Amino acid sequence: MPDALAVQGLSMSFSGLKAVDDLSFRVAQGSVCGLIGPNGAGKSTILNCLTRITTPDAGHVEALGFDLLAEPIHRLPERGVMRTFQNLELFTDLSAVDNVAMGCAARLRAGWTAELLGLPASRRATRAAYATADAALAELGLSEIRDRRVADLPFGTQKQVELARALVAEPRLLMMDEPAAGMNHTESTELGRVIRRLGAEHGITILLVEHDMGLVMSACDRIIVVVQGRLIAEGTPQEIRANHKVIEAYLGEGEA
Amino acid sequence: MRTIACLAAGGVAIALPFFVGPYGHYLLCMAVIYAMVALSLGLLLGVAGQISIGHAGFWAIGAYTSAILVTKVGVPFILTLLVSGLFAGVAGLLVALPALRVQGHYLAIATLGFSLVIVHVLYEWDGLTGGRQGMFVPRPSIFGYELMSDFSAYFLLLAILAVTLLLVVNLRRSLGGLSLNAMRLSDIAAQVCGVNRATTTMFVFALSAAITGVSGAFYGAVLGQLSTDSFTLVVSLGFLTMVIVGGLHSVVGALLGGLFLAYSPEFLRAFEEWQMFIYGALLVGFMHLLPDGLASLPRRALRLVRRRDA
Amino acid sequence: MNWLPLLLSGLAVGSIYALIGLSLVIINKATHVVNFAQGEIGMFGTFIALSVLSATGLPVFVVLVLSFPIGFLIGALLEIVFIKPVASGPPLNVLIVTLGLFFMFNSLAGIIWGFDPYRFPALFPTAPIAVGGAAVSPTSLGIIVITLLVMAALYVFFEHTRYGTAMRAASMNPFAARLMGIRVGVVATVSWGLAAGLSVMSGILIAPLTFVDQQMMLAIILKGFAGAILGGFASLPGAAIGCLLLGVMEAFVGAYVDNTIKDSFAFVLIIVVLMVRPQGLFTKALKRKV
Repeated sequence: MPDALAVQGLSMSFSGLKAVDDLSFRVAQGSVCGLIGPNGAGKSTILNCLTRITTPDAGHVEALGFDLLAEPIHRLPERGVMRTFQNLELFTDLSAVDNVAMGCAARLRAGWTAELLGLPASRRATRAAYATADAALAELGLSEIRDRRVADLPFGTQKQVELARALVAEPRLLMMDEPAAGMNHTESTELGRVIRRLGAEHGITILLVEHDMGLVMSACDRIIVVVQGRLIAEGTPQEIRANHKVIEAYLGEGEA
Repeated sequence: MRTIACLAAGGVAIALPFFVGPYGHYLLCMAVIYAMVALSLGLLLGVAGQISIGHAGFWAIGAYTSAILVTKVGVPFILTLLVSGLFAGVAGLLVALPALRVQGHYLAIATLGFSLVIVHVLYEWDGLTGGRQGMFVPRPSIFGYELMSDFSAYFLLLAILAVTLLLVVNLRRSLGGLSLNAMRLSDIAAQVCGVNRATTTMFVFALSAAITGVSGAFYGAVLGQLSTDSFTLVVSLGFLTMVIVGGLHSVVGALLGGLFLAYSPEFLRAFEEWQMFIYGALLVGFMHLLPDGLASLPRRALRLVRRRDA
Repeated sequence: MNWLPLLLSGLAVGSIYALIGLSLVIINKATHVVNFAQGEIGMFGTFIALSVLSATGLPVFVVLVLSFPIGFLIGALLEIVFIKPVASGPPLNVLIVTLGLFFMFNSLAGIIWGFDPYRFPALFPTAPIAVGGAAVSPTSLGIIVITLLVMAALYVFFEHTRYGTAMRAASMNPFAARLMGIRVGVVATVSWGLAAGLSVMSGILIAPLTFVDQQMMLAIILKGFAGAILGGFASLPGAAIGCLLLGVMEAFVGAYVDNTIKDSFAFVLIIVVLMVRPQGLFTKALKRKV
């Protein structure tokens, strides 16, 4: 199976401190890949590099067959790459449906001129975007909160809205930054089911950064372990569970 | 319901001049001229979240472009409206060019510097602009008819305002408007959703400047004369005050803002020295107590009533 | 040797810009807004100093020293009364409040002291002194020396005192600062105080060269911005050096090219720097954390 994501020699440092150190890994198309590591391992930095929010010092990234680092951030959705955020980046003052519609707004937009003149193309695009958003909200069982201001929603619901926004962009590669943070056990089990289904039914490749080991072990096909920006282990959940280096890394965190 | 309200507002706007005298007509013209600026600033500030403290500069470009084209080249006034909008729009695009590289409030500084330079240039270029003496500007005209009274000019202004209003409302309701709102609330998330921050910022700056430019063209023609004193920093800040007082987040707010800026000097005449102080105090006071402006009052009142019922 | 006086007067003017530029950066670091009222606070403080001067007959230098605490009080009070209540809202709201303050101070000064320019007594002897065959103005030298002293004091404060280090920590990571037991709210107040103190000093330093009137700081704040952006808005030393550089460039452009384009020069510089090297000449690019 071809790779959806191939990272080669990724490095990034902040004022002399190496956050990501010569990191290389691959994620097979249609698979769910977990990216784990103790706090401060550089997971968020890796994700920010892979979604063009920060530019790494060195490295090459091929995603879905194109040179990812050559694209500006706003071109990624049309290339099929989408992400969610650890601490949520929602449009707080807008309603849930507005937020989700933004996920497909760029793809459907009719252009500034048509929008200014209120041409039918612009109205059609708006209708299509909101229809898509409504469908996505319905699928996650969120139709009720459609018109609520997202800032007023519970944290878990906001996470779901953000996921819906990412999904309506119809990504082929989805990167999720700690989607289960702040969720209780039932919610994270349900999230695991959703993630498996995205991979299995829609063929979306998923890179999952997560602290919830239960979720990672149950949802992922393969797992990558990063400590201090360096790859220390890679394998199936069973292999990772039995890996000494991984256990040591996590134990070290427990002592500290 | 909404349509009825719009029609009613339009009816009132058309009927108003029949109940006031010539000076009232002049004030109404000014209110419409300011309302156009307020619409453009509302789009920039309230929707896209970009601040400009140099809109008087774009206003000046519109005013002088139209006046010079009419007096020195003989272009019909109506056509100069387009050129004024175009020139001001291009200026807006240039001022927003740094958006390609920076984000945040740096653009505000660029707009401030720009407006100071524009006034400086207009002042020095006296062969074209009359420099410190200023220049006379002919009345607005349409298809060769000069609109000698403010009464007749008002209706032309109203028509142009209606067109502007339509464009702005169309944009606000479209996916483009949604993208602008998104950019204001989280530029990172907006970009992740495919919004090109740089071109979007430049577009909204250019559009806002263009609308203000058209307003400027009318300003010169209705006033009958132009001098650089009309385009100082204080004027830019007055523009800002009107959108904040009226309400940033709605078209109604922009219209209220226009009325406010046109009529407030009348009420403040007794305290002329205090006028600027009052504008400043209004900016501060509204930000503290009513950040969404007068336009949000009905909604607030409604919420209060509901709370009491519950 | 006619470049020496030019260089020194450029550095002197640049020093004034630097004091304003530094105050802008200090506030920006603490509250993430640009304080547009910064120059007007300086102007207002200068008027107060002038009133104190004529009422008490104190020596000018005493007033210059007093100007810092006076400015500090004004700034801290402004922050507590006007900024803190809106600080939790969008940054744009804070920015608009500072614009409102700009208006209020500008017009209040006119209402209290009138619109005619006042003379401010000279701080330094006016007769030029000969340095290496060139006539050098003691005023320029004095301004440069005082500014350097202020910068050194700022450096010591931010790098070597507990509170200064804490302030830097708070601007970088409010959460960590709270863990260290630092009240971020107080940091904002102190920052406004510091910034206002510096601005009033810059007003008093420039006042004998120009005049004291309501518009005296308008061009200066723009130059302060320009210089700070040139050097790097994210760093205090960068901003200071940028402002000094701007002063010198202006002096040479004014002398060798054309005096009327001096003011527009700063604006063009802002645009060019923002386009070419938005993080400034002397700092590395910083990006928002997600």
